[in-house]
Amino acid sequence: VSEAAAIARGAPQELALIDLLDRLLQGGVAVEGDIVLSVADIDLVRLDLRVLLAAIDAAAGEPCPR
Amino acid sequence: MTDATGLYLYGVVAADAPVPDGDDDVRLLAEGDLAAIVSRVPLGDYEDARLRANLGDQAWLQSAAWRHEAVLEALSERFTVVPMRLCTVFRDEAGVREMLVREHDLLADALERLRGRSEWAVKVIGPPRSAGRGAGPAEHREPPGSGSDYLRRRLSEMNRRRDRTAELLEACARIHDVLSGLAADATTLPPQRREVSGYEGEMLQNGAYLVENERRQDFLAAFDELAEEHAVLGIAVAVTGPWPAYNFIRGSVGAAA
Repeated sequence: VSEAAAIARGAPQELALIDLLDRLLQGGVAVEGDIVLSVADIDLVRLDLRVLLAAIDAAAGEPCPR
Repeated sequence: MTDATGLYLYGVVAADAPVPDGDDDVRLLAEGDLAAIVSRVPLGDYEDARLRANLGDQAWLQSAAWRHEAVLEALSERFTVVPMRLCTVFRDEAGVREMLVREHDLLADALERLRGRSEWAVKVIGPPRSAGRGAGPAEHREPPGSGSDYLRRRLSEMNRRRDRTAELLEACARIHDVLSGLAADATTLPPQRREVSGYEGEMLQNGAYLVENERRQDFLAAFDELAEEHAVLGIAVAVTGPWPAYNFIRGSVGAAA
């Protein structure tokens, strides 16, 4: 369901995934308080390339649903 | 690791929003006029070293990302949602309620401002390097001739590159201006690196636009025109959306803009 909406304009799934991670890892509300550990606390400068690369590889290995 | 569970927070809606259907684990936790969209998760998955490892696990990350997005999308077609960052987990209900109280004004303002609007991503991609008209140094094997010939060639090469760069910058500015003109708000994110963007060319601009749902057709029609206009210059323009407004909540801790 989500994939279908996010790629309504025909972007391949792996590109939509990168746009999604781009948003989910840097955007959205990051709150303080009684949280365990949020992505906001993690050094994304070191983390994101490795993570996103892995995500691309995984997406490329799957048949792309249309 | 522990067997305890915590509450994963997807986003915040007005307290009168309905519980999202299609996922029995997801529920609303209301406090005053706001409600948190939450589900129970194993706390151990989100604790320090484990979370770092999970974020590096492609299958885990992909499934977490799409689930987060799916839960928000299930509500955002009809209700305004303030999206949280990925993997925001609280130890218990009291923690979530306390956050809703503490961040009330920010969240209520965001709900008001985001009503009837969605985020769209529009990226501008330069031509792949191999498609550039520039002859690389390897193609200049012939003797340089006189010193002034050499200088003239170098100068013309530099001018050509400068013109090309100006052309690309101008294209980015024009695309951003046109789309911003049709949006309630606009911003640019750091361009995605080529290794991760999936594009052969360099990403020149990574724009995010907050668009009234009622103006969606106008926005996409303008996008189509811009894409066609720039294709002849070797510049690709790509759009994805509608997204929850991840990049348009101001004032939150660590949030963009």
